[in-house]
Formats: sequence, C-alpha cells, structure tokens
Amino acid sequence: MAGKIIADTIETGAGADISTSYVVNGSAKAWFHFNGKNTVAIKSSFLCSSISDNGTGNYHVTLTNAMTNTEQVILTGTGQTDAGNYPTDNDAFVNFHDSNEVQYATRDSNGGSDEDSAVCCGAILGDTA
Amino acid sequence: MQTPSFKGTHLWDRLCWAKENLEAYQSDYRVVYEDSIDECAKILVPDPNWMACALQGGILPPVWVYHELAKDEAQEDFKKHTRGYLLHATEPVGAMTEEEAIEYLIMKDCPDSVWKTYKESNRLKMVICKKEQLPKTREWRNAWKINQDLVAA
Repeated sequence: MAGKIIADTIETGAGADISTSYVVNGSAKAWFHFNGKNTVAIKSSFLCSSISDNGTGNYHVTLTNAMTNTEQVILTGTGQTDAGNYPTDNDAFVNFHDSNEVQYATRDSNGGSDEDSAVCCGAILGDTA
Repeated sequence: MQTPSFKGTHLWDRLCWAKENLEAYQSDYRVVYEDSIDECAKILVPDPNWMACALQGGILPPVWVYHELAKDEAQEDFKKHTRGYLLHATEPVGAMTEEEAIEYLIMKDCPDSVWKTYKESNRLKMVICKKEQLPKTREWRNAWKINQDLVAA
C-alpha cells in the first residue's frame, strides 16, 4: 500500500497536540554498527561516509552531513565479541572531534587497556548543519 | 533507478531516499594513511551506503562544500554552522566510478595534510589498496606503518 501522511501536528491520547517536526527532529540523525576486530567492516549505518581504523580499539566515524556543532548527543554501546548468548565486557568512549567526525574508542572493562571490539555501535541525535 | 531531481533538497532527506532505494555497496578498496610520524597507519573504510550514493549520482554535494564548512569550523569564534545550506542547495555531483568515489572520499575524510602533499613528500603517506592486501591479523596493530619500499615499486 502506498500513501503519504501530511500533518503539522499529532495528537496524543491525552489530547495534547505535538508538532510533527518535533517527532522528525527527535529521530536519530546518524547511526553506525561496525566490527572493529580483524578487518574492520561496516555492518549497518546511516549518514556515515567512512570509518577509520586508527589502531587497537581506536576508530573514528565521519559523517556525510555534519552536525550543527559538537554539542550534540552520541549514544554508544560495544561488545567484545559477537558470539555466544551473552554480551561480553568492553567499554566504549566517544567524543566529537569536530561536527563531522566522531572519535570512538573501546577498552577492556577489566584491564582498562585499549582493546578491539567486535560490536561497535552508536547513534547521533541532535541538529544537523 | 533514476535519482529524483534533488535541487535544494536537504542532504539528510536525500540520504533517507538513498537508504530506502539503493543497494549498499561494499567496496574492497581501503585507504591506508599516516598523518603523524609518531602514530601508526590508519585505515579508511568506505561506508557501503555512501558508496551507493556516490555510484548513483545526484545525491552527494561537491567535495569543496565540506572544505568550506571545515574552514568555518576552524574559526576561533565558531559556535555553530551557519552555511549548512551549502550542503543542501549546491547542485549534487553526478555518478562516479568506484575509483573516483575513493578519490572524493580521500579529499573529504582524510586530513588535507595527507592528500594535498602526498606527491611532494619524500615519505609515502598514503596508499590505496584492496582489503585483501592488509595484514590478516591485527597483531601489533599500533605499530603498523606503510612500507616505504613501495616508493621504489
């Protein structure tokens, strides 16, 4: 079925109107999921142009459409391996290098040293340039 | 599939169209570069959705737009982008070959200190290769360097 919904507002069950632009602007502007082990490979993404493998547990993700500045939101997660029934520990650290590039690092939760992760995920919310 | 006429369409909306309609393309090309003599070699991996846009044409802005925005951001008094319209209103570039797309990506995502002077340097700072040519394991990853013997090759 094809169709198009055009509406300026959406009404909640409580009768409150919210702007549809609020909903659209609140969606993730970019996301990425890559394997940071072995030969780094991008599994799923949106709004990314490339990922750089900068060393052990050290990557950066470059965007196709820059964010308006570096004061936007990055949500992250990581897993040491992508096998087995339970997620295994590793910590992810992120930062905007600039409005077009996110630095992403993973470390062993126990030892604290840089370590590659098989599951490297992130999403960016906020305003695009 | 024909790309819609995207003149003046927000780049994010163009990329939404591409995500819905284009098949992601996994390139085998990798760009190995060194932007600091004190750091290990870095490896740039093209994004499959971005590659699909580059091969399709009519979606991505010209690369100079990114350089203009980078200039703005380098200003000391930069607070936020005010020339984002360059991304959206500039005529999108046409379809590229895979090799042209990699060249574009180098100029977009590699530091300009690498690609602007790579021919002038007496040290090899960048190599485009296939992923099969990279080491098979990540052993001693933080010590990887470009083999300077390639200069003579």
